[in-house]
Amino acid sequence: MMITLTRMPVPFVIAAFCGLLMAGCGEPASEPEEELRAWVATGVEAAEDKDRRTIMSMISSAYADARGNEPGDLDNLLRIYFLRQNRIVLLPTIDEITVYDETAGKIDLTVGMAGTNDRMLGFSADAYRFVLELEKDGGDWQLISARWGGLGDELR
Amino acid sequence: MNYARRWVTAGLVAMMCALGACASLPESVISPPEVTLRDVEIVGLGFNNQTFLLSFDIKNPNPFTLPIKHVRYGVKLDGQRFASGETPSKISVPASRSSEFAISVELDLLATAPKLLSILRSGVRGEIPYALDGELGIDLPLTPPVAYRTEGTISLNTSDF
Repeated sequence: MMITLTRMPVPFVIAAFCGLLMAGCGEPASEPEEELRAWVATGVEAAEDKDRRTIMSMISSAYADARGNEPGDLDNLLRIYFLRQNRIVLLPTIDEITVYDETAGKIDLTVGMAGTNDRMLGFSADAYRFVLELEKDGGDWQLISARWGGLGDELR
Repeated sequence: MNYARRWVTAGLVAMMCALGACASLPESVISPPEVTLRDVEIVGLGFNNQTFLLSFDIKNPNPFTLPIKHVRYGVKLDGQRFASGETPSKISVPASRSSEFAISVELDLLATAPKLLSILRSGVRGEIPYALDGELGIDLPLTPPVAYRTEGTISLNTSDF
């Protein structure tokens, strides 16, 4: 079913405008903060490309979260997602980045996401908030823990 | 900020629709978990109501931890509606393993299911058939709620009644 939305660009124009406004506020970003922004961009690009290997290389082997996930769980989860979703589109908004001693960081971000699959011609859209904890190991930032939840829900 | 987020989500939906992808309900990325009723225990007896503790087992067939954010349930005992409702949850069921959870419900069986109350009070039957259905809210992105339905028998300790 093809739907023509003549007003479709409007939300994107507004979202981009808000993004530009937020980007223009505050002090210049520090080097670790820039690295963490680049880390997010790499992760988003890898997810949209369904590049599981790149994403897993960004996750520490010591990763653990309050939900009981370890790196193997995340790998399996990504495998299933990428297998069953034909296309994934992410629209991240970084809400806050906190850097501790230039070797540890916390990223608070909201991600709008949509996925499609061929099997039932289905689609779904969602928005989640993530709090990611990272540490710098051998020059690379690695995810060591994460909490997340739907907008308005408790993060866990 | 929230206003911008709403636009972000709306924009994504609009884009996927424009791609011609919105033809049917979304498919879940997960395999549906199996939910069974393990125990029904009476924990309180009042003049007009009874409090039961319903214990469930939930089996996760997926190779990753399954976070459950709400449980909607309906229980029939011996063909009669016994209890139904929805409760928030913070359960995380480990990959390929089972977890248990319990729900406390307050009922007035005398008003809603007197036949069932007489069965429970009779003490004659230890095994009662049950039917369980409902829905699990999954706390993973792009994952719609998953329906479940099971039937079986449950052993009741009717001496408490």
